[in-house]
Amino acid sequence: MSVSIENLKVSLGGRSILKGLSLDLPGGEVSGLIGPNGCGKTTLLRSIAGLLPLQGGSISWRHRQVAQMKAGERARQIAILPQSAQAPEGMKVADLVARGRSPHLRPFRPMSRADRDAVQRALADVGLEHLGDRPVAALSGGQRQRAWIAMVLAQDTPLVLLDEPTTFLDLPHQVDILRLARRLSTEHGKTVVMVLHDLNFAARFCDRIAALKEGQLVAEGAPETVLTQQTIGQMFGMTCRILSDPRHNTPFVLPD
Amino acid sequence: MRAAVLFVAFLVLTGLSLAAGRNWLTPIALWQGLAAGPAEDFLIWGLRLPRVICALTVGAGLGLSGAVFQSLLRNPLASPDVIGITQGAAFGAVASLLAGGAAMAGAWGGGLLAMCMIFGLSLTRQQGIEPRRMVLYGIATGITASAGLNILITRAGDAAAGQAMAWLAGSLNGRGWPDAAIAFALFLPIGVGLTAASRVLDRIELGDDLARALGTRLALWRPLLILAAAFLAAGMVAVAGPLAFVAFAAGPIARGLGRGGPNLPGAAFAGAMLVLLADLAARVLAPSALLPAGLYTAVLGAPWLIWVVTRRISHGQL
Repeated sequence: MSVSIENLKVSLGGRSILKGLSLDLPGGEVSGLIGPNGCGKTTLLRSIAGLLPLQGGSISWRHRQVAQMKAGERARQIAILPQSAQAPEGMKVADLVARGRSPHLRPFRPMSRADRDAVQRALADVGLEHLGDRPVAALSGGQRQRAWIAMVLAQDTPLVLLDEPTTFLDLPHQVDILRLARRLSTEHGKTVVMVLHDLNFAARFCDRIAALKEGQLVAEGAPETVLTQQTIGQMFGMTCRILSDPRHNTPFVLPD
Repeated sequence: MRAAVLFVAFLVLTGLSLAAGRNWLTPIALWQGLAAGPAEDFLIWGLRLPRVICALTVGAGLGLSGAVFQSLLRNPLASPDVIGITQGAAFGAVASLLAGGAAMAGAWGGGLLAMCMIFGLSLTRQQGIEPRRMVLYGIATGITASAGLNILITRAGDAAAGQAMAWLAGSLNGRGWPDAAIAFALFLPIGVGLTAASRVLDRIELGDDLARALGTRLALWRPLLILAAAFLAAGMVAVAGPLAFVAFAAGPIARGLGRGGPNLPGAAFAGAMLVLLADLAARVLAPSALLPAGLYTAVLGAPWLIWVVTRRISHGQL
């Protein structure tokens, strides 16, 4: 098990968000976090990234406590793409992607050949190699999200956390970004954990799903074991039917 | 290419500043005066050169400080004159003047006091300094300091009030070697330190979560950078008074010239040119009136900022 969460307790602004959550996420796979708004998905993701103080419990990545890693070392292990990441005004795509190299740079030294190559590769991996000189603000929504993913790729970490990477995108671009997220695991061998709202996309693009409600784990496992009438009822208080996607053989949730 | 153009602009403007005044110098006379050395040529070495160095340093310091605030607070409108440090310095200077003391010490004290107040108010237990709080508390602190300033001036006698108003516009009139030395001694270490930290600012601009995920120790860096930038701004205001608009405009101008990101050397350069140009205007356009350079920084800076913003809007970058 690569990400190992034990009895995790996290509070935000005095309110308890995660209430003793335990979960193991296997390395090299794509895991999805699902659940209703405010159930603690984003908090869990940010905790895994080491961005929040823990009230109790522990999170480890490859058998090492995230809370104990030094800032620079953690940045070479874990990358996170927050939900509403905004590029500074006037910033160009290549410069944004280059920011991903910062944990690898030596202080007071310019970027090395290897760093610049890594930026170029990341741009090419997301299909933006010809747009490096464009301002980020001039890109379309889908391209912009690709640019952010390129930044995460340039950071070159074995663990990648994505917080709702498909928000504000239209359907084809959602599929496009989720395919890209899968490729991070299949082609680059990364462990990917992402928060998703769309249950059917979660079923299709994730190897594993963890379902959360009110800061606790409802169910966890392969999509077909998690996405049942029972768990969905428990999570959302909603009745539904579960069909099977004829092409991908994954569960398909059809609300009543 | 761009660097060469800017360097030539710098040389021309500096030369012009040294040559201009009640007695205009020809290029040859200027060169001869510079070559003659401080013992021979008092006009250049004793009066104009320290003033030009003072203008360049104060401008660079203000520009740098403004750019650092803008990027730390992720707000293009942030600058020491918006978040209250300049107002604190102004209050301190006038209070000190009216009490018969030196404006410079008062300005520095007032600026640092304002900064401590803003700093203390915007410190949160969990996240350290919170940028939005800092902007709001800073504006409130600035308004408080301005109100105090108005009370002081209204209650002062005509002569003292006039003296205070003259200082308040910001000016380089009568600044000599000691002023230049103080400004430079402050600017050099802080400026080098801030510029060296620009990679940290790069990441902070991406947002707190990303900055930390990219390995930045935010709880350490943000207070450190804020303190350094405020210290620098208060020092520059202490030397030349609150030159309006320099800290505010230098950042956006530098961004317009640069590739996105803070561009601190660019901001320092823009600030230095802005103040040099304003001081030149003050001496050339109405030499007998001795209008303060601070008037011209506003008059020059505002249209320039409008131009930069308009251009960026038309390029779809804003």
